[in-house]
Amino acid sequence: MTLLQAQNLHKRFANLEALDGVSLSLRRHEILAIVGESGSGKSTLLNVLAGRASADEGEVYYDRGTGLAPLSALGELELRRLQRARWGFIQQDPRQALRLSITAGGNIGERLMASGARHYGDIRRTAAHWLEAVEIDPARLDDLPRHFSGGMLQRLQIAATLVTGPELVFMDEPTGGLDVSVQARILDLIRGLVRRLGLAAVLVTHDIGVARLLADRIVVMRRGRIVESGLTDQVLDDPHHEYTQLLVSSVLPT
Amino acid sequence: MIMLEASGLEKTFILHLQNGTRLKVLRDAGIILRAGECIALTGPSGAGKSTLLRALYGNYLVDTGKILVRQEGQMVDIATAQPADVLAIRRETLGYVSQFLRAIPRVSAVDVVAAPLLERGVASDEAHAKAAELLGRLGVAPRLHVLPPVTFSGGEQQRVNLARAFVCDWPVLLLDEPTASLDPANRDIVITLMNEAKARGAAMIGIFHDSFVRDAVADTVLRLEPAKEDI
Amino acid sequence: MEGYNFAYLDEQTKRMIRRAILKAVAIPGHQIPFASREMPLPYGWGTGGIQLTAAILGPEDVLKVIDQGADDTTNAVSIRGFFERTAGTATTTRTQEASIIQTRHRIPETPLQAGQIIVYQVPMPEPLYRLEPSRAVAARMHAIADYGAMHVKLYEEITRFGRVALSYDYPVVANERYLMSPSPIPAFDNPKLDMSPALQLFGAGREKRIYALPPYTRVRSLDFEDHPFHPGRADAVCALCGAADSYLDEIISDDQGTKMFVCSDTDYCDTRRGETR
Repeated sequence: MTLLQAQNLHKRFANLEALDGVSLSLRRHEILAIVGESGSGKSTLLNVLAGRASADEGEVYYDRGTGLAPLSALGELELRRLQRARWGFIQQDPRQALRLSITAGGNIGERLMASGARHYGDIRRTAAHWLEAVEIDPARLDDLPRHFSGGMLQRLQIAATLVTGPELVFMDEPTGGLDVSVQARILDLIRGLVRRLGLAAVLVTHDIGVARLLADRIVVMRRGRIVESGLTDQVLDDPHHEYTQLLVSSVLPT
Repeated sequence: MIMLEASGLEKTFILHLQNGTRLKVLRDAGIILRAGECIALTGPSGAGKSTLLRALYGNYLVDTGKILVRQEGQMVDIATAQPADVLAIRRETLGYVSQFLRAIPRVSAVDVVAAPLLERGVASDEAHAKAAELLGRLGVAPRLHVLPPVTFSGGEQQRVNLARAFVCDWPVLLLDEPTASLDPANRDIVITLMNEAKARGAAMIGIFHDSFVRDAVADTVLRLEPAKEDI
Repeated sequence: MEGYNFAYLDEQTKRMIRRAILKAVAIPGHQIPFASREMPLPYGWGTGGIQLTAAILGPEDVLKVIDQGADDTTNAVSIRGFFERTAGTATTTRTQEASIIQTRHRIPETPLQAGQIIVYQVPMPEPLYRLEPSRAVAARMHAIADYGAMHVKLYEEITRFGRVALSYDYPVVANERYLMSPSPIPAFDNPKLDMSPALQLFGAGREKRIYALPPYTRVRSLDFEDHPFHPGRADAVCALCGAADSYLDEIISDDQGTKMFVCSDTDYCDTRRGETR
């Protein structure tokens, strides 16, 4: 049942405790939001969970099908393989994740090719299918993303990430930096895809509305610690911790 | 058959942003609900009716007490269940209708209504057909089906909300002022829907401000009194 | 020659280079850094190849040096002369007679044999350098065989041109493991790398890297299942010897722009015409 688990993570940057004893777990098909203000440690936590950074103490466990095993026991090669296919990471700025001088099709195909896909026609067909899935006109398969809008770039990143059929996706503020109307569309897309594909996801956001929309469970972080966690609507509608109450009350009513 | 049994519920809100003011809303609250039965919660404002309902749904966390719901033959305690289990119960067994729709942009009315069926694994065509039928019964014009309810009036939105509540069978259904924003004609349709659900064995708990509605659907009335505040 | 060690380099340097060669041979296609020495010609003129040749050259060896297939171009002549003066070893233009062949950007048409060594001059040893500007990242990619980006490059070529348009320095995978630059030989020559009986050494002096293919190493040019690699060649025969199977140079022979195609491999062409130089 448990797909990913963190136990007692600690990470220090100079004098700052970015992670101060963080533990959490994630089930298959479950969506977990990590909310908190900037500096709370949420992005650090995401990077440690995704194997992109290491903790000073504590361990992250992942079940590859044979039970939970520590990530630190995987060699770098195995970890990269995992990150390349069975996991996905959607970054806030799609320009960091995409190759802007490679065509849309090439960007989507890259993870496939890195995982051994060697049939040009098949790669192309799959890429076109995914462009449609993220509501980009498949006729733009051979266009360069440098001419895409911010929203399109993010959708392209989503396609390029989900193309390998990952079972676990990490998202770091997937709609941060986008116009509000564009955000709604992307969130909707993510919501639909995540449900349809049965993905498990860990999503970092400072936007409570995003957490409410996408997540089954939520953890609230402050200064490197989890102060509250539980069912999303319960934590947001009946916040117990002082900081959570502050966070929830700070949202402007629509 | 008992579908829901809550007992010993206590809840105190601690308002940290108001200097830690404590608000005790539930004191030793409880309720037993059977299949085919409708209980109306009454009582003055502040007595905890909405709080109780939300607690039964797992939306509010009680401080102590049990909330047992019959899920697949077992009684599961929502007060202490894992989030994933509460979500499973909400998908299969426990429905909740609020006073207003929480509208998500871009999702069409028919998609909103079909959602509970889709989550139960019903095929898309069938789910959307049933959704359209319910929307029709509640008088939502076909041309509105493909539009997102964000743009609808309050009453129209509530009718979408209600269509979603009745598109599938809920063994247990919680209703918080479901007809508050409806005109008499639509109110009557909702009464019919509720009684049809009851006849199919649904167990319902509702807050009905309108005594007409209450009298038309409720078998029992449970009156709540405000819990005295703790110091 | 007075004041210089045999083949110019001192013995310690030769040992350092030979150690690098041994490591390179042990891991086919993997780039080994080496302490490239200052040579009496600038970077970009074959210092890597010359250092390799100097490290392995012995008094019994017979050396052939070619530049773009020709023994008689300036660079080939200079380098051959350099070793004649500093080592006094025998030299030849005949591929079959050579024990060591140093080459810039071509593989001889005449198949190489067991016991021969071919030394390639390499300008840029890193096949990923255009795709991944960071050398540290590229090194990681090699370490975990993360070569998706390279296939992306080929994908882009097919998308843009309908086929892979790379005509030289076409990337290969050595021993089914390392992505390797075969040096700027024409794609036409790539098949000759595969299962060659000869030892193949690659030296980049400016970039300070050595890599190698031991005899009978599998070398496969990157391609797609539905766009297989095909060696490119001008659709012509050699105007001098009539060969239809050799790599051809296109030569403009007069001011009117008259073109003719001639074998790039001068030894091959001469042999076919029964001439010796």
